[in-house]
Amino acid sequence: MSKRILAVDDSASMRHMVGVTLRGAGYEVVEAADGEEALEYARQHSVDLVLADVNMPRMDGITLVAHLRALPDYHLTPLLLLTTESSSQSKQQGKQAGATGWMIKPFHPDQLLATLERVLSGSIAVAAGGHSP
Amino acid sequence: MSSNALGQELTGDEKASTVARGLHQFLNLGVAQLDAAVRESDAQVDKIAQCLAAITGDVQRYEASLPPDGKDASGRELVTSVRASVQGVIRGLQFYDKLIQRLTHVRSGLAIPADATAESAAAAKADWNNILDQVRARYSMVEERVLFDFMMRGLRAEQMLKALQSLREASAPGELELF
Repeated sequence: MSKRILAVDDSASMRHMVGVTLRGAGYEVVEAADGEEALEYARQHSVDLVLADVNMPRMDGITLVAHLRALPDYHLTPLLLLTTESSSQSKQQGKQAGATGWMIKPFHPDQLLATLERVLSGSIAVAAGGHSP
Repeated sequence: MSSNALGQELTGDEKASTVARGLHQFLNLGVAQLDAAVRESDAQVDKIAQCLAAITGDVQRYEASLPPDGKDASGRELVTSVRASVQGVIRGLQFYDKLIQRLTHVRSGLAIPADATAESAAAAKADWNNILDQVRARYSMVEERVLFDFMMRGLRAEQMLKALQSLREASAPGELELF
């Protein structure tokens, strides 16, 4: 059974780009337009990995990560942030919230797929010690 | 010399009020123009992205229809070639997304002072440093913040461009950091 990825971005074109890349590699992709929508979905369905933008209306990606890490089902789920934000301060916030990794946009499709494969295969120790929201 | 509709010379306060009103309208005009441009191009880029998804689906179906024994080498070459082109388009289209983010931040940079100075009385009381902080807080790219800080420090355009060039060379799109 294919792994289910929750792709979260307020930009519809970015969601399409991520969707095309991941579906082409055989992943099942569910899209959400912001952190709130993603959290709602994640509470009701199981997800193997979350790939979220940082700057979004209603709920940003770092807050989403913190909320997900507080849910028992998401203690060990890989949570990646994909963003144009590259400041070390923001990265630190993401890490403290419990994110597994931080990737700078624009992504290269092959690189994104390799990262997902690596993280999903469990070769990366998933950070589960984030702060509760 | 400025005057009102009756030909009377404007006082200092009236002149300031006229300038503030004009600036407010100008800022709102910029906001409206950016909104229209982003809305129009977003719809088109969305269509491109949908076409790309359709092409990817078609390639997958075509690949599945190829004989499994590897006899159709030209068919497999075609699949590889189309996939490489799709990847190139995906990478290129993300720069559009980055452009839209920047334009959205420019929009905020116009809308925030426009809202704060909507009334001339409010304009007089507006805390300019607070407005600048709000504008800067919207930025999501290091480049944007550097440009903003350079501008606010009144540095010359050449210095600013030089610093931005160094930043671009140092930045690494696609860079991954696993925690």
